Amino acid sequence: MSPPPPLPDDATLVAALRAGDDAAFVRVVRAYDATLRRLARGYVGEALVDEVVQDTWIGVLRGLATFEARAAFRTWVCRILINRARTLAVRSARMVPMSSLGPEGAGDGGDAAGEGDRDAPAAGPPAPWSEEDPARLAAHQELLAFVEQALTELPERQRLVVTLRDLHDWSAEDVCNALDLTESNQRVLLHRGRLRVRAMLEQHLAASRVP
Amino acid sequence: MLSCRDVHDLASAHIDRELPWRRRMAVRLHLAMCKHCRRLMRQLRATVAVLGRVKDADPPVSPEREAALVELFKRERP
Ligand SMILES: [Zn+2]
Repeated sequence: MSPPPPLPDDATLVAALRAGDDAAFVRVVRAYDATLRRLARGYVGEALVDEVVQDTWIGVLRGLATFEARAAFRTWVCRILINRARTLAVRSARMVPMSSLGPEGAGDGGDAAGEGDRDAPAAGPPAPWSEEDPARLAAHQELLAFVEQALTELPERQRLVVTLRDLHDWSAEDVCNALDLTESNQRVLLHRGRLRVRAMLEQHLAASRVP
Repeated sequence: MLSCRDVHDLASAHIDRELPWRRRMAVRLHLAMCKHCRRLMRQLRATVAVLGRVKDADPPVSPEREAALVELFKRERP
């Protein structure tokens, strides 16, 4: 499938949406729906993903009139999604409300460079993988599905940062704005998240000799 | 001289080419001499590459969903 064409700049896009341009909205949906669904899946079970994303689109449309372009449009959309997803997750009791996007979300490594070190490097050196070539690894659907699942096991902020940066190619700046992170917190969370996924891949590739 | 721990901590910044030149050279020097850190770096690069391919498998928005969202747009638009 070919990727959707790039969106126009935010000012043009928002003006078109405010003018009621259906085609502009379809482009926004094509550009962000999969990202929103993936972010939602980190909070709620598959059965509630539709509801979270639907709520988000409603929030976006209702907020358009007052949207001020202080941050990128996509960071604003993302913040709406996270708010809805957290609310629904708490309500559906899948998540205890203590884990937070704020500074009290300790233990995920985003607090200070030296803190929250639950995933300090393993005592031993990394074990070899049965396959380490990125292209050959990525050619395996099974492995992509494994990585997607592995992401859901990351602490909230690591999961969000890795998803936006590495899966959806967001800039560090947009991620900081969407998640209220400092540049250095963002960097630590990204690194910790990647290290965890690497460790899970190591176990997976050692255990199953896949691919 | 960087320790293995230093290189471990700098690995993502190295992969993302965010390190100042002098640090970058120090990491490369360590990597030239340490096969464990070379392996970590190789595997972390592979991890990032695989993460970057996950969305390729995302299905496109279905026509039904698109139509439903356009209906929503018509209902909610300012
Ligand atoms: Zn080393």
